[in-house]
Amino acid sequence: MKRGLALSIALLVGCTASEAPNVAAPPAIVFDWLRNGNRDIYRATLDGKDTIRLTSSPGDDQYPTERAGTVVFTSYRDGNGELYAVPSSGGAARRLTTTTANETQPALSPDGRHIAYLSDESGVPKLWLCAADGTNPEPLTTGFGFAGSIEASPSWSPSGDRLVFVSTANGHAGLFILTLGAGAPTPLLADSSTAVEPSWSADGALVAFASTRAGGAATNIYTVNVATHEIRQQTHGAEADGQPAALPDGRIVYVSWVGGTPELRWLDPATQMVGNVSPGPGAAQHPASIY
Amino acid sequence: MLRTFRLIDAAALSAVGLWLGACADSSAPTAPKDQFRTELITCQASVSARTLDCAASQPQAARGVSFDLVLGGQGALVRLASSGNAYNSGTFSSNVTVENLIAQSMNTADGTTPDAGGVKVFFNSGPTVTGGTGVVSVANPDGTGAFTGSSQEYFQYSDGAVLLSGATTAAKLWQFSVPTTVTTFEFQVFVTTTLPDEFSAIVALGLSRTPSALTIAPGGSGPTTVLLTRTNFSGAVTLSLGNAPAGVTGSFSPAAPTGTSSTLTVNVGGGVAPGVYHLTVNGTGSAGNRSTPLTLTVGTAGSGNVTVDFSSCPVDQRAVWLAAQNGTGPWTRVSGVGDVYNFTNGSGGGGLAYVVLGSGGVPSVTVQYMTQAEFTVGTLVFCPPATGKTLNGSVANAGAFDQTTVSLGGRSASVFSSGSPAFQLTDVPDGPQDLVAYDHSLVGGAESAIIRRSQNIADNGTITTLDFASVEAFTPATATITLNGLLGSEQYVQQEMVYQVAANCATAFLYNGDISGATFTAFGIPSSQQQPTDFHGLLVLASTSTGIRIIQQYNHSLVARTLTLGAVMPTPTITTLATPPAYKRLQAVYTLPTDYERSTWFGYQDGANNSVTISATFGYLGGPSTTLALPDFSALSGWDNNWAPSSTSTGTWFVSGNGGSGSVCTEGASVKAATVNGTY
Repeated sequence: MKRGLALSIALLVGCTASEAPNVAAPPAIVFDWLRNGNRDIYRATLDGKDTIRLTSSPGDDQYPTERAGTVVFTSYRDGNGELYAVPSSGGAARRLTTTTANETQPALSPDGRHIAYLSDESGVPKLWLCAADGTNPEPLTTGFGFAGSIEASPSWSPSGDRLVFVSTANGHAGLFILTLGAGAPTPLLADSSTAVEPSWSADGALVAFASTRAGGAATNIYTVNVATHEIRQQTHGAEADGQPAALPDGRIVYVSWVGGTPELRWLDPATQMVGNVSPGPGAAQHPASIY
Repeated sequence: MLRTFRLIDAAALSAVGLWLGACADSSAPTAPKDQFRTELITCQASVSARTLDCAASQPQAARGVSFDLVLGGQGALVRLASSGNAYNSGTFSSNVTVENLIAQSMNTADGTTPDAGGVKVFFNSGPTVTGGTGVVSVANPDGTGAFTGSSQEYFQYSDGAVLLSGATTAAKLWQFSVPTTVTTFEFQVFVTTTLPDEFSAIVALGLSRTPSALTIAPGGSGPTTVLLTRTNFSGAVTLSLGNAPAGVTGSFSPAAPTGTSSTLTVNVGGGVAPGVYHLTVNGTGSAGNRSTPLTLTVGTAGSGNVTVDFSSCPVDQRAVWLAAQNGTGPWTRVSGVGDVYNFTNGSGGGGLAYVVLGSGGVPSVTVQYMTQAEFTVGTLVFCPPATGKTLNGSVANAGAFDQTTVSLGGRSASVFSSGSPAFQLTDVPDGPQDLVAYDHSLVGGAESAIIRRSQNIADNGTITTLDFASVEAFTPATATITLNGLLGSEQYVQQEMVYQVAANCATAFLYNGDISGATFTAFGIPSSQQQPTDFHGLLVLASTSTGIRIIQQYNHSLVARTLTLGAVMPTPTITTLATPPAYKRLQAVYTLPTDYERSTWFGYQDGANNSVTISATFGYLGGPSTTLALPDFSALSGWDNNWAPSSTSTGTWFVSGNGGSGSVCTEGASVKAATVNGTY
């Protein structure tokens, strides 16, 4: 993809391939996109170009995650939420789970060997872990919170040994960090404001999340420094901003509900630059980076 | 700030569990552990059937939109109930209420002052399409907020008011945008609100019953199970039956349960007038007073000379609506008792119409026109109950690539040589029956057969191994068959041989397979093995992409002979009738060929698999000129326009007819049938 894009640019400016300017390709993302009455998984570059449809099931396909050339997502094509995998370059989708519960919101580990996801097998969505082929499922938060506490939105640290996720274990939707094999999760934020949809940055320093901590019902995007717990507000709009996803270049792609319609945008915490991702008409949500 | 804000996660349309909410004060109580069972319940909406069934972890048996029917955690802290489900112009709508089942008031921090937050029902996930294609969305949410994710939709209740213990909110209309291509969808919700007291003080009693509706004839009785869901409450609950008319009584066992269930037996006196009565099951305990509705239909067996019986059918194969037409008079809805319907049919014959929803909730509408004699020849029993014997057996020494079929008393079972040699025959009639076992080679190899006469094996008994290498096996007879009337366009031709045995003319399946050309070899039973009452039944099917012709001819001996296919079914004139516009009413006009002057069918089906089948006997028609159309049922009580294909739908249609001469197990008798199909 990158080579093809560079060659295209070279041809446009009249250069030979060997003389092509060194133009960095924009990061690529996967997302679910509701268009023409169907929600499927797509990939595109952050400039909204090179859009490729990865699934075409009549059922709802949602919450994609990508690592090592594989996109894992939740599909309701079987009547309940199951995990599926498809090559990030496109191809046949492969079913990973077969249960009567709903498996949702998958997150592939950085090495692509595991999937953290939610299963409502116990009655409410809880955090689970399985191998990348869907085998060896196991609950990760047994005994944490209370029976009715809800968990959501797992995101891996770049080192692959920790997960940040949402839990209502403390009576509100807050962020927790689970170190695999090291006991109970610990809260990431000290206060009791609502915080949801965390995404760990590629350098491991920040976790982006959506929160109503500034007041009002609409969420904005924030980042918290994992080491210092310093919180910075990244978006300030009156419309709701959410579903942040950290990109390898430090930017954050997120969803902004403009007039109630979800639109993909990006921001750069370092420069405060912002931009739109415009794949086309339709409701694009749940973006995730392609690594 | 000392106030504690709590969230109740209730039910997806139900889930239950109390969730301690946000608190800015560090001394606020921590979240409880295991104090409440939380059961995220998935609600599945069937658009075509206009139902919304909720279940804890597995499909709910009861059909309907009563959230309080849900078993498991549902109904312990709050109860969401809906009514008035409708689907019109791409919108599925339902009026939903929230009932406070706990001892504390909701939407208040101090017990008296209303909170601004109201009682919010958040969509934690979905709505997600689980049947059909397309996307469903919440059309009229009161707002969006962050529950476990950003911009989650919610409905808000009790604005500016406290929801007292035991009180129910006003109904709020929930609307979902649902394209016509969607048959089912699901979603999960939780309820959030502010509670005034310490968490540990919360007690709750939930009450439900299953089934939620009883149909009892005067002088009869019927049971339902009352379920109690307890939260921090173990005391006795005194149960009673409310709103019962004179002559209707209820007895509970136990009457004051300390457990989680009680059996209610409703007794209907002989003088109770037929009708529908809305009763309540009431529970009184220290956790509060609760009630749950119970619908009682008092019906009589009805009157009339026609009886239609669906009572032996699986629940999803029973009629949800039935109407009858006497002669050419108006259609009248018929209410049955225990899925048995009676109505009157005069000398001019008439019609029977019914709707079955099927396992997937996909409706099929059937209309049957018959003469009075045909209607009254006996009870029209759908799904005759299986009362016969179950027998087990096995085959041995069948060929390597063979299908062996064992038949006894009209029941058959097949085994393949690639699988287990064991078989089981079910519902075999009692008494002596002739057993026929036929070993058919799937690759053109040798065929073999075994016949054992007058077998009467005890129920659950074993059939002695059918060994095709034993002396009782014999080589089938063969004969050259010529098929007359085969068209060049009929490229796909099959033969199937059955063997009718014993005095009851029971059918034994021998084999089927493709044939090429108008001359082929048929296999059967050699004369040395035949009884005088045995008959071969050779069926030939010839089809194109737009039609099928079938002939089945019965002859005692298998000898060379010619079979003649009936006429091609003519293409009917299909038109759409103007009224009502709410659903597709197609009409087919055609002339039945003389080969098919017994019965005829006209059917059509849309893309959502909603189907209509209309049939008429030749006796009812009185001649070959045929006009069949879906009647206008829109004015009849209980009829749902969504059962039929939608007025804007496209789909497929078919017209069939059958006829023939003689009856099965008479020499030379034949049955001919033909179908033509197309699209609308």
